[in-house]
Amino acid sequence: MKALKLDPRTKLLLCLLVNVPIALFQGSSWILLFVGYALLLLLLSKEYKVALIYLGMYAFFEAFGLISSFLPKIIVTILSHLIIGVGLFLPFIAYGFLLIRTTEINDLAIALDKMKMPNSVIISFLVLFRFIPTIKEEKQAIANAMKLRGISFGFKSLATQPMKTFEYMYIPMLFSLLKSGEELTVASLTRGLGGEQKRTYLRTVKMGAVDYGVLFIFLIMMVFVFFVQL
Amino acid sequence: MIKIESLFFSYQNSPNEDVLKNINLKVKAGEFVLLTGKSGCGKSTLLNMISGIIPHHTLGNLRGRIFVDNKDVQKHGVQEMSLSVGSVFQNPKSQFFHLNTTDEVLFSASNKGVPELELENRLRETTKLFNLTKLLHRNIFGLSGGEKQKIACASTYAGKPEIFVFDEPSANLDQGAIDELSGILSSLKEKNHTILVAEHRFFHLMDIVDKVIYMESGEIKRVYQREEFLSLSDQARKAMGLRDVHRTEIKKEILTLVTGDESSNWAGSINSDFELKHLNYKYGKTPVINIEHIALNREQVVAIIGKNGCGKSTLAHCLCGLKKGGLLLLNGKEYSEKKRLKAFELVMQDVNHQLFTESVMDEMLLAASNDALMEEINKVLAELDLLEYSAKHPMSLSGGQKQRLVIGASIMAGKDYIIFDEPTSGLDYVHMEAFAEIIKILKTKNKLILIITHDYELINLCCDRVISLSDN
Repeated sequence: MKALKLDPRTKLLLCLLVNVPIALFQGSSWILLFVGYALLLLLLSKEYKVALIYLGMYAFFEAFGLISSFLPKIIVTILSHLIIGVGLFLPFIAYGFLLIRTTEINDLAIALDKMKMPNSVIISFLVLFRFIPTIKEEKQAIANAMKLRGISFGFKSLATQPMKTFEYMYIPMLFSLLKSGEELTVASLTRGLGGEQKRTYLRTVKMGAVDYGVLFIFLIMMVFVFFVQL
Repeated sequence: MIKIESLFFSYQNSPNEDVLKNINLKVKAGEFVLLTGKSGCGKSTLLNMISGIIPHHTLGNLRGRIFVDNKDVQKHGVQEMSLSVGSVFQNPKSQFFHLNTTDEVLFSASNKGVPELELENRLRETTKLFNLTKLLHRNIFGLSGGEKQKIACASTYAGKPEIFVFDEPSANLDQGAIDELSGILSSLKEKNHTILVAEHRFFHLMDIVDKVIYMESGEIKRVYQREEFLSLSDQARKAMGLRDVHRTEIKKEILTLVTGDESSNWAGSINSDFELKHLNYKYGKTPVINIEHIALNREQVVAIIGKNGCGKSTLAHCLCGLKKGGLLLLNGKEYSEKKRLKAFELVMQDVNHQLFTESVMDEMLLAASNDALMEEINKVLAELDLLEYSAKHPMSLSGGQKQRLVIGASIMAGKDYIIFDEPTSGLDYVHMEAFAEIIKILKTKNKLILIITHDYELINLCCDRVISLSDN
């Protein structure tokens, strides 16, 4: 079976729309329906690994809720803000994964261009997307360097000396990202990015029946849960 | 095509220090010009000025006049200049915008608003000129350095500028990729483009260059015609801090290891300090490197050469314990991955990844075993010419100093096996020689030193033998 390919606009719209159930049905288990839908879309797009990572994340947050009554109160108070904060947006993160993992930079640019977004908005999106793999690469290189220097970067070191670990990770990270950011800016300026002209594209993106179908099902789910909740 | 008259320039953050002094230069249409000189001589600054990066993106104080393609650079922004000037830079990693090669090739043209039909023509033409058929529709992160550099050239070309400026394009490339790059450069020259290249390693340009500009501390010291430059004596050239005009041949014993060939092994003397056996590393199902047996002794400097992507870095990572693979015996004892991390140091190409603290001294203390004596640290710092910087922030040091600091840290950590990943890419002759001196000091400390490199001049200066990895 071919991997599902959605128009970037569909994915952007889903990222926006999912905030409605997050706001309305928080705390209800109906929210799981929307999480499940995102997982289904990830699976259809053949992003099995991401789906698995997401499930792991979800399980972690659920587990925290279950064991929190056994942990010392002080730890729960410190962590719960963070965990509840992130936990609240778990459904959104699922759709975010879908957008980031299955969209090529240029397709996104074309889609935003079709939405009549100004150049400046398009370029900011491009830069954001471009930096994700770079951050990943840099993180791996620094983690390697830390291992060689005998500083571990894992669960244990984060738990026992979080400040030091973050410092060791983020000082080199900051400097190398600044450097590659600057190099990237210079390279793209000399390739004419950010000029007066409207950008042109060789291909185009189109909303197809699948896109409308995916959005329609999402809306049906929203309406359905809305009435059940009433 | 390019006309520069009594040009002075200083950067905004150090206004009293002119990095370019009284530059006068004329480049005719279709000319091929090499800019060279020691690191920091101002050649990159000059190139950035021609592309308009200076003064529009990087600010500073510019006096004098500079015209490129009849445009006054001071009055036209970078994007406007980009219609006339295309740039290719040193680092293949950070000059891409897309993950997909085809989109990247059209990036420049697309930014300039070239109509769709014309985009298609340009893609076809560029693909033909650069022989890109196999590289299109691929993920850029999966390409080798040479392939990435080719895509960068192609992207610039598809934007159809008159003038091309290259800032050390070969610094990270292997010999084969360098040859391909010079092929690209000469086909650009045939198409009558004006080309400026700043390089330390320039042997591959000697057939195509028209004139050579030698710069020193911000000034143009001399302009040579091609023949004049080629006739410089070795001595004169080295005194100018320049690398060889000819391709360097390796003058050391070379052992070729063919990946996957069972019979290819290199057993050294019987009681070797270092033995690696049965290394067979795969990425998914693709074999990356496959070595039956290598045996080496300490107090040796061994170069590891081979094409980009032949598994040199993977070999280094396996030895250091960053990746799992192979059976490693040090002094006859087996070393697990965890123990390898303590015995090996890897000095990365980007040493910025390896500096964690706020001062040179802290960096040494972090690496040192708990009861290191101050005297000892100071002694190592003095040997590496870093003593006067011990209170400085590591990030304020120069590239070479950072590299030496990482070496110092590994000495403090008591590591006896040190691997360097491309330590001299982008270095001029003087700095390369200085690095070779450091290697000689390290060698006397009874260490085994492995250097992954494409720099044959370095190999001849300080390596004892060479392992050449090849995949048939």
